[in-house]
Formats: sequence, structure tokens, C-alpha cells
Amino acid sequence: MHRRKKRMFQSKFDLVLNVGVIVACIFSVFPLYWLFTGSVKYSADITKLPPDWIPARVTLKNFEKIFSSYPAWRWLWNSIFITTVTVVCIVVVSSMAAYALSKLRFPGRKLLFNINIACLLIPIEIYILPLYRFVYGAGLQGKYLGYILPCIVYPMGVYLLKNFYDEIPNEIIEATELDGCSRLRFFITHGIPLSKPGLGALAILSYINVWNNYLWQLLMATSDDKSYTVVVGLARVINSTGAGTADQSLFDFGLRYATATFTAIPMLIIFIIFQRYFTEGISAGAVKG
Amino acid sequence: MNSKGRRSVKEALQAYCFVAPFVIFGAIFMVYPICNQFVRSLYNTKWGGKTVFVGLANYMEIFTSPTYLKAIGNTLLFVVVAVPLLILLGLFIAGSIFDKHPIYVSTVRVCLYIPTIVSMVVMSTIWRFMLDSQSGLIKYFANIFGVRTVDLLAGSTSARIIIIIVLIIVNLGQCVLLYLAQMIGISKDLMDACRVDGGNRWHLFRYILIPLSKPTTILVFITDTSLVLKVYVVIQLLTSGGPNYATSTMMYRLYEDAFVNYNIGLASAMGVLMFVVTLVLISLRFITEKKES
Repeated sequence: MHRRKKRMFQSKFDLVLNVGVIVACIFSVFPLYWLFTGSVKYSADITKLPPDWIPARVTLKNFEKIFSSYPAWRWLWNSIFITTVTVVCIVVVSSMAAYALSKLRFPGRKLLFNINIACLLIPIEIYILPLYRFVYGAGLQGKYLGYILPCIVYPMGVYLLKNFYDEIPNEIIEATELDGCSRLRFFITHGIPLSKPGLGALAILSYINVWNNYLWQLLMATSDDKSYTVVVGLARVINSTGAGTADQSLFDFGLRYATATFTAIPMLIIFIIFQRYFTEGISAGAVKG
Repeated sequence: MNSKGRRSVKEALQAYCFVAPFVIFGAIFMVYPICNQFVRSLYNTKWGGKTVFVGLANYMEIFTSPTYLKAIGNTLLFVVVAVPLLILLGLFIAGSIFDKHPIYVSTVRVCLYIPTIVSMVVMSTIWRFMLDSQSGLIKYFANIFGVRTVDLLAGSTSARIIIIIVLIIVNLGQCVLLYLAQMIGISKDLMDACRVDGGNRWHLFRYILIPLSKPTTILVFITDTSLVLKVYVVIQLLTSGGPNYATSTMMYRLYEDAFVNYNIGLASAMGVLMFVVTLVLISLRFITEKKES
């Protein structure tokens, strides 16, 4: 029996498919390997033919150069600050709305829930111009508030958390209500702890989305490079084709690879630490949809 | 008023307080801009210039100008090619690993998800580095085939293919994740039955995985269409819409009109068109959801 189970569905077809899977993995991961090794090579070695698949000479000069030519730490700080504050706001605002949609009865509940589902598919890109004009008109360009406020509405968050609150049996609420526990107190003392896995999933999911929201951050950045976030900074370093300090970096491959590495690393670290929450979150949010 | 009625009024009031922040932020930063865009699309506005009511002229221009038609065609092309490929790849990758060793499954999942994590900006950047005809790895592979070098981003067909490949790579992880979550939930009895009947993996796909994953397929179709529709970074960093508008899309034109050419009326009209496409996707989602329940 055991042997038969092991051979279950194993055939040439299966082998071919799994070779395909491995090829797909290589396509996803190899570019990053190439980037990371490129960032510690000397510029001349990066373009060498045949290529050094494993760096022959290692240097940290490229990274030193990023920090001496650009305010890169400032970019990193901007990204961390903007993303963290946005995510905290998303979690608070979404969990309150999701709790009401799941546990409280009020006129318009169904309508609000359906509007939220519809909004899941409306990306910021579609209304980015009027949004930009509005935020620009309010004088928030280049300010943290300009980066943060428009990103707080996160329909996915409400959707995901409502699914988690739906799992909490109503009896628990009724029992505590008899004990004279108000709804707000119940939400804080029971609702939040019970939905912890959901909050974790939402936090990590939105963290990555907000961090990588390049288009909006690009619009919010002013000509002052201290207002950049890391993704905007990377695009500027790569696209710099003239003005000022950028000029010398035009053919400095080491610097470009190192900047891209510098941009990729924070998210990778976060992903590795919170991986478990992360896959849970995406699956939980999607399967029921 | 009896106490029950008073309680439900109190409950409703509390509920409105709970949803208030979400609704207010949503109204200011989502609903208002979307409505504003409808109005703007009927005017001819330049940054800091005069505003003239032009009716549907902006839409007429989009539907008659060859560059815009090309952008709409490209968007359609990317959706029609990339989305089915994503679905097929997601389905077959998830289907061929879901019953394997957990370590293998999670390794594949992490590998495929990494491009999404490190952001489209980084992924597009690396691909541009690698494809650079003067300095990239592509030169090495061209040499193997006996060519000095090849610039894939300069030809319109090859540039489109590259864009589609990069689009697939950055979005595949999520697609596989969704299918995996669905397939792991499929009952073991069904698969045992398939095995007892002498089924091989193709039969498993044909009779169990593909039919049972239909809800996920619909979800992936809808979300990935919306993802491909809105893509901007990949195109800006890889080809800047070129060569000769071969890879410019609706979103790319919108951005260019809005923030490079400062033609707000045209960009708003394009935004409204994209919103209409999104509405179609949304209604599709509601229809399929209704059918299921």
C-alpha cells in the first residue's frame, strides 16, 4: 500500500511538469541571484564575458558609494516610517469596519459590504490623476501625510478581517454582553485578540503592498531627493540620464546593482521573518472570495 | 420605544461609529477622485491653464488617434496573452506540486513569490540589466548562438514578449499560492478514487483538479486582468512604451498624458475608460459569486 501510494500519479507527465516547475523557479530566482552577486562585484567584472557566475573578487565599494552619493539611509527611513504608519492606520481602520460589518446589525450593512467588494478591484492607478491633483492642491506633496493618507483605505483589509470575525461565534459576544461588557470593550478585549492571525496576515500583506506602491510614491516625491522612498530612489538612480551627480553613475554598473540590492533586501528580510503569516493571509483572503 | 428597539438603535449608532473612519477616508480618497475624474474628462484642462468644456471630444480623440488605439490594442493583447498563460502556469505548477513533500512545496512557493515581494521596480530593473545589449547577460547567450549581441527591447514583437514574460514572472507567485490553497483542500477520497481507477496525473488534472479549481480560476482571471490592466512600472523601466509605441498601454498613456504632457482632459478620459473596464470585471465577480451560492 505504502509503495503504491508513493508511486501515486508518478509518470513521465508528472516528471515533465516538475521539471517545468523547477525552470519557473529558476526564472524567478536567478535574476535576484545575479543582482546580489553583481552588487558585490567590481563594475568591470559585471560586464565581463564569459560572466563570473560566482564573483571572483568581492568588494563592498558599491554600497559605500550609494551612501556617499545619495541620501540612501534617509530613503530607507522614509520608506520604513511611511509604510509602518500607513499599515498601523490600515489595521485600525479596517478592523473597526470589519468588526461592525461582521458582528453588528445596522441599516446599509449589506450595501457597504458589497461596495467594499467592488472596491477590491479598483486599483489606485485608475484614479491616480484626480487623487494627485487633490493631494497636491492640499499642499501635501513631499510630506509624509501625502504619502500616508490616500493609502489608508484598503478594501482587502476589511474583506480579510471580516472573514476572521465571522468565525467568532456570536454566543461569546452575547455571553459577555450579559456580563455588562460594552461593545467597544468587547472589541478591544476579545475581538482584537481573537483575530490576531488575521491582523498579522493583513499587516504583512499591506506592508508589502504599501512599501512597493511605487507609482504613488513617485508622484509624492518632490525634486528634493530627501523626500524619496527607496523604490523611488532606485528608479531615479537607474533612470538618471544627465543632471548632476547622476551623470557619473550612468555607466557605473556596480552602483546600479548595489542600489537595486539595497532596495530588495528590507522586503526580503520581512518576508523571511513573517513568511508563515503571509501565505496564510493570502490564502485566507482569497479562498473564500 | 421598547427596550429592544432602543437597543437596536444603539447598536446601529455604534456600528456607524465603527465604520466611520473607513467610510470617510474612502469617500475622500477614492470616491471623490473617481467622480471628479468623470467631470474632468469632459473638459480640456491644461496644468495652470484655462478649462474649456469639450463634451466627449476627449473620448473621440482616444478612439480615433492611432497612438491611443495602439495603446488600447496592446492592453488587450497583454491581457489576452498574459492572463491565460498565468492561469495555465498557476494551475499546472500548483497541480504538480501540491501532493509532494511539504519542503518541496514551500520551497517552490517561496521561489515563485520572491519576485512579488521584492517589488516590480526591482524585478524590472534586473531584467533590464540582463537584457541590455551592450552590458547584459543577454550578450553571453547571444554569443552561444553565434550572434554578437541582440537587443530584444528594440524590436516591437520581442519587446512585447519580454513585457509579457516579466508580467508573468512578477504575478505568478500569487496565482500559484491561490491554486495551492484550493487544491490542498480537495478531499483525499476523490484522489484515491482516481488512483484506484488507474488514473495518472493527467487524469487527475482532467477530472479532478481543473473542474474543482474553477472558482479559483475565475478569481485569478478577474484579479490578474485587473493587475495587467494597471501595470505601469514594468513598461516604464523596461521599454518606456517603445519601440514606436509597441508596448505602450492604456495605463502608460494615462501616466504620460497626466504627468508628462499635462493633458488632464485626455488622461481623465483614459482613466474613466479603465474604470469602465474595471466595472465590467466587478460585475463579473458578483455574477459568478451569485451563481455559486
